Amino acid sequence: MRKKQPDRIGYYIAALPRFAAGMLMLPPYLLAEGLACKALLAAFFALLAVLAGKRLRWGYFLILVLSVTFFHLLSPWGRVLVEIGPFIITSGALENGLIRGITLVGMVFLSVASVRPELELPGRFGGLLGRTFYYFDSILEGKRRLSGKNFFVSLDELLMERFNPDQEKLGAGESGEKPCLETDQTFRGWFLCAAAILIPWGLWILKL
Amino acid sequence: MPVRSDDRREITAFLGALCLFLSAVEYLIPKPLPFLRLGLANLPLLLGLRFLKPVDLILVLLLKVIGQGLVNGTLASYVFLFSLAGSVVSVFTMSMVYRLGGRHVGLVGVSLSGALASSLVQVALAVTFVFGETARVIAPFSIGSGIVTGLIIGVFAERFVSSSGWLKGIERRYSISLEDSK
Repeated sequence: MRKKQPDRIGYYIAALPRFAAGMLMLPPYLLAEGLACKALLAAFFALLAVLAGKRLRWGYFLILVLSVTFFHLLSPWGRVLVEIGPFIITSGALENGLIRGITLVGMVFLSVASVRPELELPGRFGGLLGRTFYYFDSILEGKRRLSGKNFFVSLDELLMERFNPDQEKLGAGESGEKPCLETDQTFRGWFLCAAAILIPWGLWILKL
Repeated sequence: MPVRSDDRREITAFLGALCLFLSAVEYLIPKPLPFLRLGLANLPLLLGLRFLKPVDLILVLLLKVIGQGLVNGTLASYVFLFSLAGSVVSVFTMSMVYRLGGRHVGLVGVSLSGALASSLVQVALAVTFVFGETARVIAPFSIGSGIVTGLIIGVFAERFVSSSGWLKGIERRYSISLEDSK
């Protein structure tokens, strides 16, 4: 089993400013038009995701970009680059497909880097989500009890153990708070947030 | 047995957690293609149709979609929108089929209808926002896989309903809490 990578961004930046920074980086990314700019920013977001300790499934993202590009190539547009039998590769369709595919993949990288499970949503729904994460952790603790052979019996036993409907008070004695990776927002954290936000805005303003 | 008024809230939160857990279990099952999904996380929604009030069913749905977005980090991406649209349409369709079909439609039929509706919406979104018009060719494949996964989840649900003591207990507790709040 592979070792979990540490969240290097989480050392300096708390969940809410991190999410806000991610959202501030999105508009210039979506507004940028050139393939080079999109690709550069997607690579930057991939770097952030790796620093966040996320294991990216590169094969999956490659297949996604290639399949989006392939379907765009089916509607030829622009200068003909290559003809392979009845299949024509045109410059416009190729560039459009790549831009669309890379945009989608970059958005996932950015989201993965900026969204943490510790992010707390406000209001009653936020409280309910906190309870949900509490129970999620509780079920995960007992996951070894699940057996492929007797899946239904073992699942029933696990659920009965973690949330017994016959107990006097459901969820008794539990705080209901999300498991929290406490991070104090440091000065360095604010500086890194600002620097990261400036990169996509700067590229968009310079019209790269 | 003393019943607290917040039992409904606890049961709703636990069903949301079960969605997230089954989503994690599904992640461990090998897939022939990266885009294929079994939809195990929909099982609590399918089971919830039998006893949850519509407002609580919608809450479980939101907990599932937003929880998955937070756990996987996809909350701010197109993946979240696809998941939200597919789940909303699926739950709405399953609710209609379950209520209108009555005793004539089992959980397999209900699950199948939800999976088909979800597949159709996701194909429509993929054609509109991701792949372009030419991607209509993926519709038969997507709908075909929707039929297979819908059947599998439906059979899972039927078996779980017939064998689970936990589910019977939860249904009983939920109905008591409803009566208590009247």
